[in-house]
Amino acid sequence: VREDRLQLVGLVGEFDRNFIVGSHLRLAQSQQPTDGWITSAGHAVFSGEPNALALLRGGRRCMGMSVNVYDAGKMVMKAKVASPPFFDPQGERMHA
Amino acid sequence: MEFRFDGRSFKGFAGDTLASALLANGVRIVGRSFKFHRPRGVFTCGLEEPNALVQWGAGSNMVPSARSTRIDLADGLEAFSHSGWPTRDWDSWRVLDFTAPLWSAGFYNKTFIWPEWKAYEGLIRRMAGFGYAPSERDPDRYEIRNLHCDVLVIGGGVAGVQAARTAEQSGARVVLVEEGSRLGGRAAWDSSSIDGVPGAAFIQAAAEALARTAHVQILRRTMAVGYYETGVVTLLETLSAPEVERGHPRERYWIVRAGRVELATGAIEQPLIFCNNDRPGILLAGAAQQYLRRYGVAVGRRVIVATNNDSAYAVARDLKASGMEVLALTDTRFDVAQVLVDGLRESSIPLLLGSMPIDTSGFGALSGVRVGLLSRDFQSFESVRRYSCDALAVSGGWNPTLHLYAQAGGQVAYSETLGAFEPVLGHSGVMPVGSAAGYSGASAHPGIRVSPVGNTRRQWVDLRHDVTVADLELALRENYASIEHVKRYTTVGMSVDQGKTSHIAALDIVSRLRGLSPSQLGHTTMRPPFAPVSLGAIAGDNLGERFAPRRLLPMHEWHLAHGALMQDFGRWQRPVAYLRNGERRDQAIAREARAVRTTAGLFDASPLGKIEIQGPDALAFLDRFYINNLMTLEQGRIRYGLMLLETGAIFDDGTVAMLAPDHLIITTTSGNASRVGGWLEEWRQCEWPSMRVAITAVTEQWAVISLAGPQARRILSRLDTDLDLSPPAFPHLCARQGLIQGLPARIWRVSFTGELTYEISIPANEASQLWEALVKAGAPEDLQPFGLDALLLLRLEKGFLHVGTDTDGTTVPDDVGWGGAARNKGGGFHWQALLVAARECARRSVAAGGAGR
Repeated sequence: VREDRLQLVGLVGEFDRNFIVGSHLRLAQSQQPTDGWITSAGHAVFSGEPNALALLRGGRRCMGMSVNVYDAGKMVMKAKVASPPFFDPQGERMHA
Repeated sequence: MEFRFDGRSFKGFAGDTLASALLANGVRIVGRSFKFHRPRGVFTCGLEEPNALVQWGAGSNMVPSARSTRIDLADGLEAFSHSGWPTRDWDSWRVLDFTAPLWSAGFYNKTFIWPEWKAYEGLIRRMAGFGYAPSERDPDRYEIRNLHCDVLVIGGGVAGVQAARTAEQSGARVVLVEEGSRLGGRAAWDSSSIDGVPGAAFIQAAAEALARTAHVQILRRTMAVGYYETGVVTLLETLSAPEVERGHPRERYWIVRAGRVELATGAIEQPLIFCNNDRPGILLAGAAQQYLRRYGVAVGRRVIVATNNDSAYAVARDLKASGMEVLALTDTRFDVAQVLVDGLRESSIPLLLGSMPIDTSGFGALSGVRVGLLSRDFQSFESVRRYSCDALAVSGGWNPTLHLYAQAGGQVAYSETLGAFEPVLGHSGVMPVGSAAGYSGASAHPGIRVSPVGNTRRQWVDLRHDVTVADLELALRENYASIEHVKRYTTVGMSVDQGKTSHIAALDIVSRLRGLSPSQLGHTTMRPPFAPVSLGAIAGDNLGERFAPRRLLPMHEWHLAHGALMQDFGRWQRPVAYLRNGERRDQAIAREARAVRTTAGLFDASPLGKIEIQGPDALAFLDRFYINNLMTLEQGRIRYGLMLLETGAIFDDGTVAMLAPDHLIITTTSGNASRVGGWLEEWRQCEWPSMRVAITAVTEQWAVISLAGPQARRILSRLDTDLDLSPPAFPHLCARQGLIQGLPARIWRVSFTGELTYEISIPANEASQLWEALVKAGAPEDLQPFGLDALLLLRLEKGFLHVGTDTDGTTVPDDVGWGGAARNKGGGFHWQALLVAARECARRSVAAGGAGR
């Protein structure tokens, strides 16, 4: 499998800036028109921190990196590439 | 009976069609042609009519492009001609005809492409006069019905009636369909006899015998319109105005599955091609005969009959016998049977052998014909005679009506004997009989049908689309060589009549111009429908609420009573959030999600797709669809898995639970439930029929109530149940069956929220009881119902995949971090190669089966 395929990753955003499903993503210094897009958007249940899932080109190599988020052609916010889950990473709660 | 045409009142008789009544009233110009706005009159007597199309009815009942030859006259009937401005008799656009050289085939494409076709479309459509759709809602009712029979006989002429009788005598259940309102076909009005009995009497006796037979069903006013895969024939039944008034639907669309189909659709008469062959007053010879003998209408006073075959001789004699003056019968052949010559002499009709019309005259309708005597090599005319006449009946041979035969995969081939296409028997689900099979003695060995000289711009091939011989010549000059390309470039045979009276002439001309025989040229494809079908009939009563029935959850009423905001998901009405005391949607979502994380929530997951897989091979069967290795699954355990298409793309996800080694239950995403079921069933039936597996979709039978949250176990244990809920006895990813409140339940420990969850399946009819019991039991913990929005927020926080949202048709397992599972599966991707190989094999066998076409 090619490593530059669109891979599913998590995004963590800045407070009070909601992610929008369908927003395009570009990595810093990217020469591509798009490096991917947001597929699911929401926020943490308790902290309210915006989170999202996205298909990002070669996304698994980009953990911890910053991406620019575009809405309708304009750069609207920055986000950090993260590895989901955003909550209870060991899954202890559902095994209770 | 009184009726109105273009605002004027006329009188007609019961049994008339609109066309026959107009002819009887002397209305010769019924409309205008679409491109040159030439006056046009009734040309045929049947559904093949290219000219006399009208706007039938008024207001919401209006039918555009209705064939006046097929409209039964009714008292108060109203119709309008489509075209002609200000009137059809005096059309200002007639001026276009004098500029005809400019308007060649492809003219519109070449001219109006700049700057934008849409700028011209409105005006051109108005000028073309193709009729207009009513702006109001159709008030009529339509109906779809299914029908099964042993033998379906299409066509109620002599051949059809005989086929029905033969089949019926063997005890077969027979359905006989007739497009017209009565049986008999041509025999009902022409002067032929069958076994020494006059045609009409023979038909009457046969029809009465069929009507007495219980296992024969006769559908009149019913047209077979299409033959589809798996041997389905569709019929369109038009009900009469009085029937509709009694509450019947206007049209009925029948879907018929027959053991055998016999096609007795007869043949359609073809025209002769000469200059100005489109004037009102020129019509097919068989039509002239039918108007006379069936409707008692004389198509003119002074008539010329022009033919290239034997069939028109009887027509000429019939017309003469009725008192019409038949000036001459011209035949393009030099040698004809003596019996025909004697017959005409008996009726004192002058016979002109080796001759055909060259040109006609008349400003509106026909007033004169020039008949040319052909040279022996058929390349030129040697002399010309002029006739003053008001009708010209032409016959260019008869072409078997083989549309359904061809649609069913049957081959047709050009027959020199017939001068038309006949079936190559042996490969079709349909058996032609009678004239449709090419048995047409009277039209065998026809002569030429196209005038060898004259201005080809004035020789019409397709009357409906105003396509001339010159247009066909132009198409060939521009290198459109294949008949399919010529058809599309010139639009010959592409109008509502689908070339029923132009197709053969076009083939004849194109093959001659290319120096080929018609059989070398081939023919265009005959596709369904055979004739126009109203969209209402296809829709039937699947309209409005019934177009896509709403699916209601078992707990629907409870949800509504508790403030649920409902939305459509795959036709299910589902709660997205429960609004309390004036909450906004986002506030409700936040409250519900927090409740699930801190205490517990209750979610109606009933639309979750549930499919039972049973049988000794159940596990091995499922193992071929999922990327995970399922062969190690143990009884009472559950495994989450990704289901792939044979392309390797992710198709669906869900759980596989093993209740017993031969009994598994899979869950699918709610929106994909029926598709996954169909997908499994397709593979089982088509590729692996030897696997011992039964697939049963039970999505609607089992409601699913999902109890999620840290307090879920405490709440559930308050109910009356025989299950041991302790973690060691019932851990995560396990499936149990038992009783809850006395109801049979299947309980899965799976989680889409990340919390301790019991997903309880319960028979749908009992589900509300359990839901309410849980709500009550959870009151101390402030258990709250939660909607889809909160569920999706919770699952996003857990990073769980939502197939179809986080994936598209190109996403493969590695893209979502499942590459390891794919590599670890026993044999790697071997199983997927198997899928692809099986698919390819299936495609090849289909291709091989169809190679005979």
